[in-house]
Amino acid sequence: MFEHFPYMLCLFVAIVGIYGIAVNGNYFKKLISLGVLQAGVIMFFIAIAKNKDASAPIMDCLSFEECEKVVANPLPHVLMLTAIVVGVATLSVGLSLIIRIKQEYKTVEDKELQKE
Amino acid sequence: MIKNLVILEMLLPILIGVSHIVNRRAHLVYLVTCITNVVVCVAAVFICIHVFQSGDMHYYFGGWLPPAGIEFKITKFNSVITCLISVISTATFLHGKNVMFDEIDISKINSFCGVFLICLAGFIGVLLTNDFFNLYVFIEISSLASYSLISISKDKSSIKAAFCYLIIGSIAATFILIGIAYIYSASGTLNIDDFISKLPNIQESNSVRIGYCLILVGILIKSGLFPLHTWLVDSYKSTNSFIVPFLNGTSSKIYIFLAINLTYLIFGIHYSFHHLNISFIFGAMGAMAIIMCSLAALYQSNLRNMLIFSTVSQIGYTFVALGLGSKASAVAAIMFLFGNILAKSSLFMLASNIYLNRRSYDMSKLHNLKSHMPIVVVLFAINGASIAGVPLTIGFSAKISLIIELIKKDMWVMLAIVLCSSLVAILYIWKFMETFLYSKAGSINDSKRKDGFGVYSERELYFPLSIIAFLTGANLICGVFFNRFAEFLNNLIL
Amino acid sequence: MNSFDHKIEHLILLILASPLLCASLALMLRKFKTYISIPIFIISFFSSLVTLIVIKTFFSLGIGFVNIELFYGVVINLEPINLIFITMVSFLWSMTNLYSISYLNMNKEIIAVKFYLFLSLSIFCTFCIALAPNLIVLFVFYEFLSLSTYPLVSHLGGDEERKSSRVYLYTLIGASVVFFLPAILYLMSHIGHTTFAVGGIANFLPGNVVTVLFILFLYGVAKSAIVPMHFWLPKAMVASFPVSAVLHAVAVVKSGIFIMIKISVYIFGLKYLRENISEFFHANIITILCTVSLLISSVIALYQTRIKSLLAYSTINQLSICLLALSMFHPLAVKAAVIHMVSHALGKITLFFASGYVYCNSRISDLKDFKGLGKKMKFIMALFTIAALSIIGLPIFGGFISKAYIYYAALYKSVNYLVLISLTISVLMTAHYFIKILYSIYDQKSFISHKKEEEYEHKLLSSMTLAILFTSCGTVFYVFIYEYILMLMDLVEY
Repeated sequence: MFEHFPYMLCLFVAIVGIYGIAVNGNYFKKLISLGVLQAGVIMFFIAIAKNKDASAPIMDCLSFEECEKVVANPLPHVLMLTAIVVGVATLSVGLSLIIRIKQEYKTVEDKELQKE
Repeated sequence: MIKNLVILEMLLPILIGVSHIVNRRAHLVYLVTCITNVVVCVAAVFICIHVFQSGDMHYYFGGWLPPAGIEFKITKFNSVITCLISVISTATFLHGKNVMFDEIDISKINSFCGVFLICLAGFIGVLLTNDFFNLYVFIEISSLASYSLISISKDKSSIKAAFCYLIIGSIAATFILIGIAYIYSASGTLNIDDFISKLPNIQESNSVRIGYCLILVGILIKSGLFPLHTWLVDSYKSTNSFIVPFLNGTSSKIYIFLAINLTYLIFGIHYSFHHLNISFIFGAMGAMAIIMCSLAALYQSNLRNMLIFSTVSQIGYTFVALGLGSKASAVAAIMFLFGNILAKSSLFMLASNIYLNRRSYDMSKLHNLKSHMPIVVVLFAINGASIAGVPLTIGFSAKISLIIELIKKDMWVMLAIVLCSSLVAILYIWKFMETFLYSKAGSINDSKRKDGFGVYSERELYFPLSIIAFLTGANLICGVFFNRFAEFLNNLIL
Repeated sequence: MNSFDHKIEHLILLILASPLLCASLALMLRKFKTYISIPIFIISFFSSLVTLIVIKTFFSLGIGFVNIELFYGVVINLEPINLIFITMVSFLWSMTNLYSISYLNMNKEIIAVKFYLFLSLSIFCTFCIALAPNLIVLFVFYEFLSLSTYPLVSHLGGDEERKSSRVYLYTLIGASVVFFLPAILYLMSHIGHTTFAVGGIANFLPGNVVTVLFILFLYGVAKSAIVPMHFWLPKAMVASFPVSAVLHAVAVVKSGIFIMIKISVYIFGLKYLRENISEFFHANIITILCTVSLLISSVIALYQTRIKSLLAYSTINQLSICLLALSMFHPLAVKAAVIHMVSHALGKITLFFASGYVYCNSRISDLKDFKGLGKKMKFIMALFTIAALSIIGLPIFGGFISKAYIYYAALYKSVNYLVLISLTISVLMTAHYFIKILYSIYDQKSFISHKKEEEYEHKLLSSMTLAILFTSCGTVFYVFIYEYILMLMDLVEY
């Protein structure tokens, strides 16, 4: 039961994000919930990468012979750097769209925008 | 040399697209983008010919061999779809000069073309890549670019639609990412070929099942299957007319290609249809898409909205074909894909030309088009015939392949649904044809009336119409020689 | 054998090329509207003579069924039923062209170019239906026939024409997509091909499947105007008289009957159908359906007040008689159906031509205005009478011979009571409504003098009269024609 706890936690964060997108009426809040969703997924990847008794996949020294230690799988960490960048790009496009919506419609509330 | 064409295809649009930031002169930007499109198209054709002669091609980024490195793999299927995408992109650009300068603000054209090229590069990357995470990155590149492209329009509601598309598209891409996480955790590799070889050992693993389903859900959202199609309808409704043929030909179709790849080639027919039962999902959602969206298209009085609902119902047909789980049905699905890309994009282009002449998409303003734009009406008839399933077009070959497969599997209810919706398709295409042929007073022989119509007369539109005629001709050729076309498609999937 | 083969190929190519030649003549000689009728008539008459030469050559071949390759990949099927159908259609087409020379002069609202263009295209589609080697090609040209007759039906472009031609198109295409197409594709999926062959290709399917398939074919081929699918025919009467005459008495409806005959003989095989079609109270279910159609159409015909709709329902009646004859499923029955097909075509086209003459003369289209015409237009009304008596079935005219043959076929080996009874009822009802008209035509007491019309009489000594004369001669001298038909039908291999 407790083995899967980290994964469940990460996915819980993701689900909170999806819930936020569905329930919130304000477009800003939707966008932030999207960020929470992406954060949850990123944490999930990192959770997969961990090995037992592993430390962060950073090399303190110049070659492997000098400091042998168990490290977590570095690949998902690296992939998640890319994913974070993608998330930032999405956020920026979303924010610029919200600015334009505000300019055109004077509001970013879902209910009022639906009436138009 | 040919190997470098592969990376050129993907990289050149990005470089040129980025360079458009500095270029302020709209006509020069347009010209450079056209040239880039033509170069990408020619490269795609060369690669396609090379693959057909010498077999699959691999391009290893940075010289790192898989599974450690990222690679592009070009198979026959990939290369043909890449050709189609680049042809549609080139056609949209060559055809759309009038439309673009009409609908988009001159000061924004350089950024528009820049983002367009990045979008194209993203789509080509999605098609060619052989790595799961790279797939996710290219999906996001193309999606972000298309969110921006959609928001540029004279209609205010395009921004809302673009935002809505952004939220739903990002959720879909995130599902794909979680799915990739599960698959990576089960198999330890991100390379698709490597994964296929490891799959028999890990078939029973729950992680693989969940990962597969999550990726599939993400792809279904992005391709616009029935309950998840609202973003598609809203965004195509309100966006500028230039981008609609391109997005129709690429965005949802590429994800359908990914769905075919995933279910038939990566995971294989046995895993997808016998181990996991996705045929029910595809069949049920496809059937609902066909019924609901054909009926919705019937009640539209706006030309563009009718075409959009028609697109969604055609996506339904494609997924019904995919859900049958045999190679012949996959061939039928690819035929629907081809038919939709060629005919539907031509119809959208024709609609934008009609808009240039009549300044409206509403049926009440489109009477008696045949005396002002006879060529447009003829091309509309032929492409509409392809959608409706009249013989000698790709749409007809696709429909009969689908019906033969349904008969072989004894699926009578689905057969009745497909036949009745073909009728509905004929009805909604015919409604507009009738409007074009008759004038408002009811008489078919009304002479050319000058009611102050339109900025563009047909004579000024001969070049764009010739591009559309070229696409229509391709449709007719594939439809007439349909035995050979079916063999060719059979060869693609192997 | 080889030299004959080449000769037949060239002759068939000539026959196929002549309607295309007429269509291109109509397009090219757009400026010289008044001069296109005569060359077109000459070409069509020439093609009908060529069909006679083909029949003679076919006789000398001695076999009853042959597939000939015309040029690369295009195969046609030659056998007696085909040849009879093509000969009949091409002769009656040339008669219609003769008739239209004057008709178009008298009725300037008909656009000659459009008329001849689409008429020739429809006849080309009919020829292709006749020569089709398999059901898929047949289906393709069947659809094109519906589409190419649409502009002729909606020619005048008014509101009523638009509504009627909409029903026309929907019924024909709807029935073919929902019933005809799945039946063809069922055969395709279970047999692998749908090529016509002696003795039938589907003679291994179980009995109830055959019944369902045959009923799907019966209702799918809506051109044979069986009662639930008959709505298009009265609606098609908004077309002009030459169009109604050749298309809706000869080409379109007879191609429906022709397709049913070919399917019975060469797809299922007569012996197989005899044994396997389900029975319902000791009568073949197809016979029952045809009887229902016959009775309903006879009853509706009694209430018609316009000459064209009366002739339409009479046509539906006579077509149901052809199908009734066919439903007995033995060689004699097929001969009876073919003979009736030809005799009805001759008689009905004369009736339409004569009614068109009356219409040109004095714009009469209601039956009550026919009173007393016998005195005014003696010659034409005499020919009208002959044709009406032939349709009723009075001895020595064509209709008698064909109806007598149907009785003969019903009494062959075992008496088919249903056919006998329904045929008798139909004859009595037909006699009722036609004799009513004939009585009012020759009603001396109500002779109203129309002074204006007497001037027209001289002008109308014209091609219309000639055409009516030729076709009614065909009816009168049917005694000789049917011998040749029987000689040809003896060559058919069942």
